[in-house]
Amino acid sequence: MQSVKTGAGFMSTKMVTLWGGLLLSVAIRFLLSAMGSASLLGRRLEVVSPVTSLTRLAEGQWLKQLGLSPYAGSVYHGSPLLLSLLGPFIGNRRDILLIIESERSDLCSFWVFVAADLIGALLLRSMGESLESAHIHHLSLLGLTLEQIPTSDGKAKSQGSGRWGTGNTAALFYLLNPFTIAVCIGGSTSPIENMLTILALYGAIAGIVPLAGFGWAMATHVGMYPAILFIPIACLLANGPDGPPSKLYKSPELVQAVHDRDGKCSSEIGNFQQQPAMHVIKSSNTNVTLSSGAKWLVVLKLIMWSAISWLCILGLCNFSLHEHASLHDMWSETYRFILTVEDLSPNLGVFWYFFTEVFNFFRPFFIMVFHSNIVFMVMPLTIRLHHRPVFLAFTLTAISSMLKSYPSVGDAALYLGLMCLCIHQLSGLQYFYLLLNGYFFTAIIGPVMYNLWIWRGTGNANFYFAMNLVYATLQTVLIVESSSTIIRYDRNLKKQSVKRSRTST
Amino acid sequence: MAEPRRRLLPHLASLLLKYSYIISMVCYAAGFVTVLLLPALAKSTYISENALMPGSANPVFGAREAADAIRMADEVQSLVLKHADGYIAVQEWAVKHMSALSADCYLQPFSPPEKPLSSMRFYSSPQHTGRLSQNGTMEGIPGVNIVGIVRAPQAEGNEAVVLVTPFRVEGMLSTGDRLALGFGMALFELWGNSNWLAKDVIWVLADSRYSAYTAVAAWLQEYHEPRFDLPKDWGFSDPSTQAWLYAGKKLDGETLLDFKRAGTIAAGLVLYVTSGDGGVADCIKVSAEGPNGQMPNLDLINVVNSLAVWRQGLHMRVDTFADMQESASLNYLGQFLEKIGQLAGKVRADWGFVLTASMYVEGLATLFASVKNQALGLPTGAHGAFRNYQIDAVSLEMMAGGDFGTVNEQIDLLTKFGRLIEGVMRSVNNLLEKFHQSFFLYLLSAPNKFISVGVYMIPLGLLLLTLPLGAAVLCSQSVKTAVASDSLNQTESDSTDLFSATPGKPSTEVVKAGEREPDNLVTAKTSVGSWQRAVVVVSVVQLWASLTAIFPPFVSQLVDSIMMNFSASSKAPPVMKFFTIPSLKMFMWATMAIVSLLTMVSFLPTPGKGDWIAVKALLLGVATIGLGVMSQIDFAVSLVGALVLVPMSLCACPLTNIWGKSADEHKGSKSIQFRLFLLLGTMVNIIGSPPVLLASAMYFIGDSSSWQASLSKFWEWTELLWCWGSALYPYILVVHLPCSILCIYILLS
Repeated sequence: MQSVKTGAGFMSTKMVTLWGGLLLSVAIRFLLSAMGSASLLGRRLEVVSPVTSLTRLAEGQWLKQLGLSPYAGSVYHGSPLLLSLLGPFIGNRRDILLIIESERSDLCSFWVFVAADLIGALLLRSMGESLESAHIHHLSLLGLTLEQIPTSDGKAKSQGSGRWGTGNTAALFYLLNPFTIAVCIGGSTSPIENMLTILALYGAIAGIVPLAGFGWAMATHVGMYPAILFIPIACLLANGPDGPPSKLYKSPELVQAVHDRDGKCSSEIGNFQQQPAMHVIKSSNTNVTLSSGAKWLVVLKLIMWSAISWLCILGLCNFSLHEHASLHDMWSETYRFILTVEDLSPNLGVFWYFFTEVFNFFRPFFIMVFHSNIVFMVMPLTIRLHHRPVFLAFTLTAISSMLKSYPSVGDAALYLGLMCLCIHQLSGLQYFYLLLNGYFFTAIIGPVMYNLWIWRGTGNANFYFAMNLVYATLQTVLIVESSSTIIRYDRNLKKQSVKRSRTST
Repeated sequence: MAEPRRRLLPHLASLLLKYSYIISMVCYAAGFVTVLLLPALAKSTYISENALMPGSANPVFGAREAADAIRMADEVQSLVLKHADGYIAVQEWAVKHMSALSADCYLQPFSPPEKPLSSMRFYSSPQHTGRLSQNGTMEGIPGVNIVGIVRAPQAEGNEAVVLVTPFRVEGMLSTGDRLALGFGMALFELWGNSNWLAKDVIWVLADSRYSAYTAVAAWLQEYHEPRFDLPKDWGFSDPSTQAWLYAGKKLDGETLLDFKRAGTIAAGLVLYVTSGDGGVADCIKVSAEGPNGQMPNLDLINVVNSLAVWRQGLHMRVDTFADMQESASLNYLGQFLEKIGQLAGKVRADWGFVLTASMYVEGLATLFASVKNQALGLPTGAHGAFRNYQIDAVSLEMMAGGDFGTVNEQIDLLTKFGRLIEGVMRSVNNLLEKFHQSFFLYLLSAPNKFISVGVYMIPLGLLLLTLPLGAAVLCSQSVKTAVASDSLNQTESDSTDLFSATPGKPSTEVVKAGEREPDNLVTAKTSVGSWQRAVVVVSVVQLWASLTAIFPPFVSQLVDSIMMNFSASSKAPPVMKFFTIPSLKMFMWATMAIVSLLTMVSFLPTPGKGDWIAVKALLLGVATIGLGVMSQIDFAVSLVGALVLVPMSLCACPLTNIWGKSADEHKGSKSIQFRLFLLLGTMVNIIGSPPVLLASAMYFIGDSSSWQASLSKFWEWTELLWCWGSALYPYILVVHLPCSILCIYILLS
C-alpha cells in the first residue's frame, strides 16, 4: 500500500487507498463472520480472555435479566457499562459454542465491534497526521530537511497527510492486522477497550482535555491497565506531540548557530520559516505550553476532568447495577479479579503457569512481584522518553500487554497500532525480519502446541508455555529494540542538527 | 585506518555465511543419508510400563471357548439368513446372549456420514457424524451399533476397556465377520464370568454398513460429547423395526435405546478376522496409525507383540511395501551398510552393529510404509476414531495361515487368538494410570523395532537448518549489493545519515556485519523498497494459496446445485459430454486457481533488479515456518515435504543468471562451474514444480485411461483428504504450492 508515492494524483490515490483499505477490512470481517468463524475463534484462548469474553458477558446479561447480580457465580468480570451497552445486542445469544449458525443478534454485536475498530483506526489516522506535522515542524526548526530532495516545508504542511502518510499507514495497519480482525469477530470486548485507549490518546494529542480525561477514565474503568497511560497523556497535553528532546533547543552551540544562520540565509528556508529561528524556537516552546505554570494547569485540568468522568462512570455503574449488586462487588469482580489472578486457565501470559505451581502462602508476595514489574517500568521510561509521549504510550501498552494477567492478541493489536504511529522514527529498527517471522511463528505454533497438549494428549503444558515464553521474549525484544532505536534516533538528530548548523555558519 | 577489532561471534557468523553453500549442501546430504540410515538407528521395543506385566497370568481361554465361539458364529449366521433384515437379526442375537449374561446392553442408532465437502468445517469438529437437515430428519438409513458392558465385579466402574468387532451384513455375514462376532461373544462371556476384572469391558458390535470408522466414531462421540438434537424416532419407518427397538421396554421405563457409559476408556482393541493371504503361519497384523500420523502409546503395541510372539508363537506383522524388498539398489545399499557394520565392529567391538542386508531392506520398506501411512493422514482403521479422544487403540487383524478349512483348524486358530486377546486384556486391566510411559511419537521399522522422536528429528533438523542459513546469506547479500551500488554515486554520504542510524537491515547476522559500514538514506530506501515489494509478492501468493485451499466446498456446492437444477429439467447440461461430476469439479477448481493466480500476478508491483533476493529470503522464511509447524502436526508430511521443498527453495534463482550477461556481478564469478550449479538448481526446481508433481501424481494415483478419469481421481483424493482433516492437504496447498509458485516467480524474474 505504501508503494504508491509521489505523482500527480498523490492525494487522491492516498484517499483511495485509505478508503479501499477500510472497505476491505470491513469486507474481510464480514466474510469471516458470515462463514461462522466466531464459533471457532470464540473458544480460542488467544482471542478471548476471562475479562473480555462475550460469552461471559452474555451470561452476565442473563443473570441481570433474571434479577440477579451480573457478578453472581464469578462468571462475568467486565464493566457494568459494557453490560448495558452490549447486553441488549447479545441478549439472545445463548452459548456460542453450541449455536453454530450466526443469528441476527450476533450480527448486531458484530457491527458494534466493527464500528469500534473503524473509529479506532480513524482516530489513529488523525493522530498520525498531527504527529507527522509536528515532526516536520520540529525538523524545520532544527534546520533539517526530510530528505535530500529539497521540498519546502510549507508544501509539506499544506499537504497535511505528508510524505509518508503515517496516519494512513497506522490506520490501515491497525484495521488489517490479523490480530485486530481475530479479536473483532471472535467475540471479545477488546476492540472497545482499544478504541477507548486510542480515544484518550487522541484527545491528548488534539489538546482536548475533557476528551482525554474521559477516554482515560473509561479505558481504565474497562481494562484497568490503561491507568498507567495517564503519564503519557499528561505529557502529551503539557508538552505537545512527539518531538526531539527539549534540551536540544537549549544547547548553546545550536542556538548560537541558528542565530548566526538567521542573519545570513533566512531566505533559504521556506515560507514557514521567514520569521527568525530564535523566535521560532521560543514560539515552539511557548505556543504549546507557555510556561511551567501553564503545564501544571493543564495537568490539573486533566486530573479534574478524569475525576469528573470517574464520578460519572461510578454513578452510571451504580445505576446500571440497580440494587442487584453494589459497587464493591464490581471492584472485587473486576479489578480484584485481575490483580489476584483467580482464573488460572491457560492464556497467552506468563502468570497462569507460575501461579498453578506456587504455594498459597507465597501467592500474595509473588502477585505483588509480578504486578510491580509493570509499575517499576513506568518511572524510568517516563524520564527517558517524556519528550515522545506517543512512543511512551506504545512502550507502556506493550509492557502491560506482556505482563498483564489475562492478555489476548487484542492487546498486541493495540500496541502494534500505536507502534505504527512512530513508524518513521522506527525505520531503523533492528531485527525486523526476525521479529516479523517470530510473530508469524508464534501465531501458528501456539495453537498447534495447545492442540498437542489439550486435544491430542501427546504434549503437555510445558509445550504451550514454552511458546508463551517465546512470545514474551519477542515482545521484550520489540520493546527494547524500538526504545533503543528511538534513543539512537534522538542522538542522531542532535548530531545532525549540530553538524548542519556548523556547516551553515 | 586501523584494522577494526575482530570479535569472535560476528567473525564466526561471517565465516558461516561465507561457506553457506557448502554447509547447506553437506547438511542436506547428511539429512538425506540419515533418512536412509533410520532403520539402522532403530531400537528394539521394550515394555516400559511395569504395571502391564504381560503374561503374568495364565489365560483361561481354551478350546472349549473356541468351540463355543464357532457354534455362536454359526448361530448368528443362520439367524441372519432367516431374518428379513440381517442387522436386526444380529441385534436380537447379541441382546439375547448379553441379557443372558445379565450384562448391560443397548443399541445406539447413528446418522450416516455427512456428504463430503458439504461444509467448511476442517479441523473444527468431527466430520463423520452427519448433521440433521432443516426439518429434523436424517438423510439415509441410520446405522445401529450394539453395545454390551460387563461391569467389573471389584471396581467402581470408572474405567473401561473397549473391544470392537465391526460387521457388515450383505445378505449374509462374511466368514471373517461371522467368526469375529462369535469370537467376541465367547470373549464377552468369558469376561462376564471372570472375577479378575478391574475395569469394565465394553464390547461394541460396530455396524459398518458405512464404514467401521463411522460407526466407532459415532459411538465415541455419543459417549464423550452427547448430542441433544438427535431425532426421537430415527426414521425407522419399518414398523417391525420400531416394534423391536421399543420391545425391550422394562418396568422402569428403560428401553434398549438408553445410552450407558462405563467410565474413562483406557484402551481400545478393534478385532478383525480374515482368511489370510496364504501366508505360511498364523499371523496377526497390527495397524496403529490414527488421523494425521498420531500413534497409540508404544506400550500397547509392545504388549500385543510380546504376547503374540513369545507366548502364542504367532507371527506379527505391520504394514510394509512388499515390492520394495525386491529392489536391487536397496539391496546393494543394505550390503554396503552390512559391510560398514562389520568393519566398525572390527575397529572397536562396541561400534559394530549387526544389520544384514535383508533386515535393512525389510526395515526400510516397513519404515517407508509407516511414513506413508502417517503422511497421508488417514487413519488405517477404526482405531483412528479413538485417537480423537486421546484413547490408545490398535486394530488387530487375525489372519489364518491357511483357509478356514475345517472346524478343528478354526478352533486351533481362535484358541491362539483368544489367549492373546485375553492376555492383552489382563495387561491393560492391570494399568493404574493412562498409558503414558512409553512413546507416542515414533515410527515403526519392524513390529519390534521403533525409531523414536529424538532420532527421527535429526534428519529433519539437518534439512531445515539449511533454510535459515540461506535466508541469512541472502539478507546480507541484499544489503551489501545495495550499499555497493549506492556508494558509487554517493560522495558525501555521511551528511545524510539522519534517518538511517542503522538501516533497515532485516537479519541478526547482517546487523553485526554491517554495523560499521557507512550507510545512508538512499541505501535504506532502496533496500526497504525491495523488501516492501517482496513482502507484497509473498503475501499475495500466500493469500491466493489460502483462498485456493478453502475453495473446494464452494465448487462442490456450486456444481451440485447446478446439477440439481438440470436434473429437475431432466436434461443433461452440455458440459457433461466431456466431464463426469467429480472431474468437472476438479476442472473448475483448477481453472479458478489458475485464473485467480494470473489476475493476482498481474497486479503485483513491477519487480526491480535484485528484488528476487528479498523474495527468496522471505520464501525461505515462509518455508521454514511452514515445515517447522507441520513437523509438530504431522512429522511424516514435514519430512517428505522437506526432502522436496528444501532443495527447491534453496536452488531458486533467476534464469537470467545462468545464461544472461553478468552485469551486476563485478566479481566475475560467472565461471562455467557456477552456471552449471545454477542449471542443476533450476532442474531441481522444475522437477519440484506443481505441474511436474501433478504429472507424477497422475502417474501414480491417477487413472491412465483418460484425463477425465485422472481428474476424477484427483477430486476423490481431495475429498478424502479434506473430510479426514489430513494435514497433507494444508501442507500441499498452503506451504508447498505457494513456495513453488514463488520459486517459479524467482526463476522468471
